[in-house]
Amino acid sequence: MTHRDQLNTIFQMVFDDDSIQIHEAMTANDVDGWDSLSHVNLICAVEHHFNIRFNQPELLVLRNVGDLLHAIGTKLEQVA
Amino acid sequence: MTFSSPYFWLFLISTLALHHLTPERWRWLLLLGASYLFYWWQAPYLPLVLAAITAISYLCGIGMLNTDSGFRRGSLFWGGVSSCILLLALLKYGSAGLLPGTSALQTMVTIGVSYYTFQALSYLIDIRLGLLPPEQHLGYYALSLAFFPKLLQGPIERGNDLLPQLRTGKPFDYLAVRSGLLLVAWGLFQKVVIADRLGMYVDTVYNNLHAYQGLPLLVATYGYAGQIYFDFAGYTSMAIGSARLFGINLTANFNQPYLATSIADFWRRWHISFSRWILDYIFKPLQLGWRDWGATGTALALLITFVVSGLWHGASWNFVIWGMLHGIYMACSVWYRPWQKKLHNWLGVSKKPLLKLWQIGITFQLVCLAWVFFRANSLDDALYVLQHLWPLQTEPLQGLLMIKGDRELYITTLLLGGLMTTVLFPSLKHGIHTLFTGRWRWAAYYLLVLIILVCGIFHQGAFLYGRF
Amino acid sequence: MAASKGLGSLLLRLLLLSVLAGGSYLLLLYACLDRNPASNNYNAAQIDKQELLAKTPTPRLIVIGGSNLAFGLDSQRLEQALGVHVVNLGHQASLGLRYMMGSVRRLAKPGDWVLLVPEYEHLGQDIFYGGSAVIDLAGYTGNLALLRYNGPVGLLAANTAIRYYQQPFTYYPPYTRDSFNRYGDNIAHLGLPPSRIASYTISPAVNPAPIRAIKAFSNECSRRGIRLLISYPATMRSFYESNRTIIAKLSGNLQNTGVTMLDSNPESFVFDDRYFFDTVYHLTAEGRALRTERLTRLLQQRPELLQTDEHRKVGAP
Repeated sequence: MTHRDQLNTIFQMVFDDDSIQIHEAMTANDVDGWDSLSHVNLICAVEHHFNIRFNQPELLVLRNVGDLLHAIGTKLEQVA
Repeated sequence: MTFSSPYFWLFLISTLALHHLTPERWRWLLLLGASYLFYWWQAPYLPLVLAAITAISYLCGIGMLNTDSGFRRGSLFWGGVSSCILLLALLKYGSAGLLPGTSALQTMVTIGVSYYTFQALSYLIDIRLGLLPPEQHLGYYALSLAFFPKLLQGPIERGNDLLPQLRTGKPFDYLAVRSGLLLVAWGLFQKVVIADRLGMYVDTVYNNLHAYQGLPLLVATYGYAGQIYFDFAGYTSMAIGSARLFGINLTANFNQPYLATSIADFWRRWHISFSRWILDYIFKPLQLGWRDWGATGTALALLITFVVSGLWHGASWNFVIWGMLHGIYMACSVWYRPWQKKLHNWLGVSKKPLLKLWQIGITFQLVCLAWVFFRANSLDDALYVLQHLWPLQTEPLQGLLMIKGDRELYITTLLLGGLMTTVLFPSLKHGIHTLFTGRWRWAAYYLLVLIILVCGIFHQGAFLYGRF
Repeated sequence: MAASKGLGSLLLRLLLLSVLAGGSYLLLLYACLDRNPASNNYNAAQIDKQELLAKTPTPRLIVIGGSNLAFGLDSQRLEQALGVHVVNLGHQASLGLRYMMGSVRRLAKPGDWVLLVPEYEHLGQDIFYGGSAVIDLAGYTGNLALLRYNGPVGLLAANTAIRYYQQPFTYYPPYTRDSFNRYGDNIAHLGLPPSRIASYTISPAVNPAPIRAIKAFSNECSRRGIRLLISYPATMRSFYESNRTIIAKLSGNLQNTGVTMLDSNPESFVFDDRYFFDTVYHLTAEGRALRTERLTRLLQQRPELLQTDEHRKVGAP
């Protein structure tokens, strides 16, 4: 499963909505409920699933799903 | 010389004419000069404060770009941020007489400082996070902070939004200038015809609270909710309209805030540039930093963010409690929200319009409860209001409403009724808009100006949000 | 070039709009002024005061200022103690200091004394210029020239005349013309119980124009042989305490111009809250007696202040 697919599953789980299909340009406004709490739930779920830990500056620059995917990829390369 | 002073019009039109006559590459200089002149008119020492904040943030920004050392970059960042915050705190709390040894600062006017300091902080933080390259041209950067339409009361602009606009010239757009002027007139209408009118009744009660109990206290509080909205929204309309004259688009600050269905929604609609600032630069870092604590971490982050918001608004316990109340509202909703959805589903009311109405009503009550602290002249006064709201005696209400005579009451009712109607019937709003853009628009402008002159409340009052 | 034409024509149309709208407004204002010279409106009492001034022979002590003086001075008592005619022109803060100085400028003669008692807001804020009170007065007297004492905001503030046109108003003492006695003192409140007073803070923004104007007035008075004295208004202690710093700043600015101050300390006229009637400047009967007493003593202690060059020439005391 690619990172993208895994992330998609996480989205569906966090937002309790099986119909979600993520795309690069997707932002907080697109997903129903991606507000203050859901965002952090998402990050926690991502960190838990991929067994990574983001630092503050990395998190604060995430603007959309594309950024998040990129950040996951970079982090995994660092760990490897 | 606030936006509602006749002199402001002279200043605005002269600057517009000069701007037009100035070659494009020097327009930034004209606007910068005009902005500093405007600020000097508020108080002679204020441009120095602005220049200081500009210099600190500009130099730290450039410094961060030109150094390879991570340590130096970090020191410049923290140095810049802390000096700006210190300067702001010194001025705000010193001028309120709360700092020992700063008697020279007392009675200092500090209008605008909170706004552009926050803008400078956002500039530094965005550079640090790599979201924004530092501005090399001092003139453009200085103008981004000093630009007079937004200098006194915001909106708080982000570098990414404002700087690119200042760099590129815009050809003269007749329609933009015309719509800008109309927006300025509309903002003036909101301020002097509606906000200041509501203020007459609100002040009568809130400046003499012990003479009232029951319904008048409630009516005055609702009145204040209206007053502060129209005052600030009026200012913002004038700011956005003025900026449009020069081809600059400022960010919207309001989006029908009293139609919010929750406190979180309220803060997405009220003073948007400010709430986005505290969301991005205080709440998010705190929340993400405490993400291991789940809901508790988020709730704590919310509480702290809104207490800071209260502190930004003023150096008094009233504002801190106002902020804290909003923080508590938001923190509670963190735990309440999942249950709320289940409750609605169980009751079978989700997606029903009645639910929306209910939510709007409850949110408005919560916001007004917090406004009591915001408006009251002291903590005792605020507590007096809360203790004497019940029972809802109606008898002193008539005295209050007649305080300026029945003619004024008719005018007020007519205005408020008209506004309510345009909210409930958007097609009416559209119709009015057509009036101002169609064949008879100059007649409509004439009427608007005349109504402002005849029905405006003029008595040397400053804009409310200029106190922050 | 087309762009220039666009802006130019827009500005021209804007100018026409302003003239048209402004002109309409002024016409409406003119049409709606209350022209009844017998009106019992509080502001109309200024007509009686001006008549009083014209009738009273020189030398006289002319007292000018806001309602602080109207409510808080016993002119008869002062007259008896000093042996000099007293005319109390003190009336209403929103007449503005400019009007007050201007009206006295015409009628004061060499040998007169003028005691100016500004309220603190007059020393640094827009109320220095006249407001709706001056416009009301222009209506009652038919003297439109009075409008020159207004600032533009004052002209706008007078739009109440349009909105309240022909609205029946009941005037209650002490805010009526007939509440004043033959010295120009307001006496209707002396028997009334005090009400709870809302204090407020004075805005820290200071306009230097008022103090410059006072200095200019002082110079003119010296040239004409009129002795100008300035004193501080009577204020409530709690109001004074919460505005201590701004009052110190304003009084300091005033003293620095070198005008003749009756006393150098605003605190001499700060009284306890219980001596006040309904605003931070309006004294009760007791407070009024106290204030008059203090004023009398201050004047008696400095007899040289009551000497002008004119008096020295004719050898008067």
